Amino acid sequence: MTRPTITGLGAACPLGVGARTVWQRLLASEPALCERPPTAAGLDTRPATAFAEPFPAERYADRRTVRKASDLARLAAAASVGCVADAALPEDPELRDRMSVVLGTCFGGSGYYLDFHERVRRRGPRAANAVLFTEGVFNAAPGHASALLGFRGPGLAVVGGEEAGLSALLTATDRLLLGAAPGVLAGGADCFCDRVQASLLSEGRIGARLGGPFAPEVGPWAEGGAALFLEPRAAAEARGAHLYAEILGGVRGRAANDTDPEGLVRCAERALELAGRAPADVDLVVGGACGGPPAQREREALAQLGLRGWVCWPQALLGEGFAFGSALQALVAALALAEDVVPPTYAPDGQPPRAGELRGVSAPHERAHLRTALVLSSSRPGGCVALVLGRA
Amino acid sequence: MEPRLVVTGMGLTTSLAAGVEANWTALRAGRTGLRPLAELDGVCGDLGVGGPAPPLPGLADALDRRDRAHAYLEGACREALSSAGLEGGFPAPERAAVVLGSSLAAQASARDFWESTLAHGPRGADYRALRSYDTELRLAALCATFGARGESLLVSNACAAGASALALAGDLLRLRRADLVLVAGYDALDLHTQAGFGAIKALAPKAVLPFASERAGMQLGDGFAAFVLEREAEARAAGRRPVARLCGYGESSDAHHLTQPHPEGAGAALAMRRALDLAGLDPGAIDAINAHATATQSNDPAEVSALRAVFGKRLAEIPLMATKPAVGHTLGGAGAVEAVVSILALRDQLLPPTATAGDLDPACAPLDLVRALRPARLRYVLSNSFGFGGCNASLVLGAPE
Repeated sequence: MTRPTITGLGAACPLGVGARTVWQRLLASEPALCERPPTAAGLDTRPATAFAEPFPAERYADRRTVRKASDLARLAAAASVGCVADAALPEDPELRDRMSVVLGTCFGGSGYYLDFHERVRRRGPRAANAVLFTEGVFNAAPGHASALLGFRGPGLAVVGGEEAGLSALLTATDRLLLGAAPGVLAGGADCFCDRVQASLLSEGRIGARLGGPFAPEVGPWAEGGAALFLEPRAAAEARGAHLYAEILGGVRGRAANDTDPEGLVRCAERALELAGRAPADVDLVVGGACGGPPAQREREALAQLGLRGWVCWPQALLGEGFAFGSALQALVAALALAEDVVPPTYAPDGQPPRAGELRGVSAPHERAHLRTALVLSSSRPGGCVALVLGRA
Repeated sequence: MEPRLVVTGMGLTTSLAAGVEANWTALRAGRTGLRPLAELDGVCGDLGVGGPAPPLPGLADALDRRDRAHAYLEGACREALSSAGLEGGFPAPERAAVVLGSSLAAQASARDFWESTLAHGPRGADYRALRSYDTELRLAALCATFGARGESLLVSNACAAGASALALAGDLLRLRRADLVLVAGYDALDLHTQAGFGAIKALAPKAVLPFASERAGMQLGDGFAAFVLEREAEARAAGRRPVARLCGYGESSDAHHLTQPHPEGAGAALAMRRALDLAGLDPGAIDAINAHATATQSNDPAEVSALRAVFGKRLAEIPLMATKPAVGHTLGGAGAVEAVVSILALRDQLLPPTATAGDLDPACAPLDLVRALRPARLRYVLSNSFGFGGCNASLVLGAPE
C-alpha cells in the first residue's frame, strides 16, 4: 500500500524564504506586518503581511520566467524550487517525467488579471495586453513551476477559498495513492493585490491588525507561497530522503455557513476515520483561525470534536494567507511532527489561546512527543479540508 | 480491482443550442453557432466572431449579469442530473461530490467592479462587486442548489480543465471518496477573454479551419457541459443506465512554455499514452479521435506530431472529429463539451462533420478529418484537450456494454 510521505518543504513569504527560515520566525513569534507603499490605484492600503519591496524572484527562477511572471507565479516558483531542493530530488528526467505540480490558490494572478481588465475597459479591446492575459490565468503558477522543475506530470491549479492549499495537498495525495505519479509537489499561494484587498476589507473578510486567532475581526492579508513534496514512503526510504511526516488521510467537506461548525466536525471526523485514528490519538491540531466568525466556527468545531492535546494557529502571526495559509498549516504540522515541537500561537495579550480542551502555547515553543496531527482549514463560504499527518 | 466508471447523465449548452439532443442535431447537420458579435458585455463594435449561447428560457430575465456563467452552468448540471434520473436529488448527499473545471472560473465576472471603478474612480469603486471573483462562493452555491454534501473542488488548468475535472472525478470514485460525482467543465464568452485571445493573435477573422493550410486561429464560444459520473456496479444496481464508460484518462505538462505547445507535442503524446494505459488499451483499439484542433498555427502541427507519435501510420485511417468549428473554443468547457460529443458519437455510431474545413496543411496530412456525417463502428474514442501552462489531458471514452 502506498504511504504518501512529505520529504521536502518550501516557503516564500514576508517571514522569509525557505521553510526553515519561516519556521524559525514562527517559533520566535515575530510578526512581519508592514505598510505597503501607495499603489498605482491610489488606494489606502492598510497594513498587510506583504513584501514591502518587490520580491527578489530572480534568486529562485530564471530571468526569462521572472521578467513576465506575476507576483503569484514568482512566490510559487520560489516555494516550489526551494521545496524540491529540500527534498534533494535526483535530476532524473525519467522520474521527473511523471511528477506533478498541484497548487491551490484563492485569487490567482489577480493583480495581472485586474490590470488586464482595467486596460481593456479604459482603452478598448484592441489595447489588450498579451502578457497580462496569459500570465493572469489561474494555472500560470503551476505551469511555471512545472517548467522550472522539469515535471511533466499534470500541472493543476485547485481554485477555492482559504482551504485551497490543503485541497491541493489532498489531490496530490490521491494521485500518489492511485500510482499516477511517483512524486507530487503540492501547496498553495496567494499574493497581495491592492484592489482585492480593498474588496476583502469592504466585506470584513480581512482586517488590518493582528488580534490573535479569535479576535472579533479577521487578521490582515498575508501573501506567500508554501509547498510540500510528497512521494511514496517506500521510494523515499529507498533513496535515503529525509522524512518529515506521513499523510494518513484527509477529506474535503462543507459547512452550511460561516458560523455553523457541523460541517467542520463531520469533515474532521471523517478524515480521522480514513486515517485510522480516533480523536484521542490527535496530539496536535494546526488550525486556520486568524479572527472573525470563521475562527469562532473552527473553535466550536474543535471543542465539539472533544480533542485534547496541543493546538497552534500559525496564521495568527501572519494574518489570513488564503491558499498559502492552509498550505503553511500543513508545512507547520510536518515540521512539528519531525521536530517534536509545538509551535507558539501569536496573541497580542501574550495569553496562549485554547479551544475546548486543546492548549496553545506562547513563544518560544513547547517540546512534546507528537505522533498525530490534524490540520483543519475552512473558507468563509463553507468549504473545508481536514488532513491527518503522522510521524514519519 | 479497478472499478469501471460510467457516465449516467449529461447536460450541454453551447452556441448551437441548449440541451444535449438539440446540440447533437445541430452538430450532425454540420451547423456552426459562431457568428459576428455585434455586442458583448455592453460593448459594441468590431468584436470579431464568437459563439454566444442562446438565452436561457425563463431564466435570462432574472439573471444578474455577474451570474451569467453560473446560471448556464447550473442549467447544464440540471440537465445532467435529470437525464440520470436524479431530479429528486442525490440518493446519498454525503457521498455526492461536485468537481468543476474552468479556465476563467468567475474571473470574467469582475466587470461590474470595473464599471464602478470607471464611474467613481478607485477610491469610490464598489469593491463588493469583486466578490464575484470568489470561485468558492460559486462552488458553495452550486453544492447547495443541488444538495451535494460530499467533496467539492474546482480545477483550473486552462483549456484542459473540463477534461481534468473528469479525471479528478474519476480519482474520487476510484478511491471511493465519493459514490457519485456531478462533473462540469465551463467557461463563458466575454469581452476580456475575446480581447486577450485577440492580443495573442489567436483569433481567426473568418472560419475556423482545423489542420488546414489556410487556418488562422480559433473563435471563442460559450460552453457548459456536465456529467453524472459513477461506478458502474452501483449505477446499474440503482437502475441508472450508463450512456458511456470513462475508460481512461491521462494528463501531463509540457514543462516547456506557458503559452506555446511543445513543438513535437511531447507532453500531449504523454497524456494520450497515459489515458490508453489506464484504459488498458493499445492505440489500435481507438476507433475515432476528437482532436483539440484549435486551428492555430502552432497547436495543430504539435497535436498532429503527438498523434503520430502515439498512433504511427495508422493515424491516417482514424477518423478525426473537430468540434471547435461548430461551437468555438469553449476554453475550460472544451474538454467536457467534446467529451459529450464523443459520447454521442459512440451512442449513435455516427461521426459528426467538421462544420468548417479547408484543404489539409501538407504538414498535417494525411489525416481523416471527418467532413460529412458518417456512420462508423465505434467502441472507443479518444478526446484531447490542451491548454496554457502546457497542460494536456486526454480521455478514453467507451460505448457501454
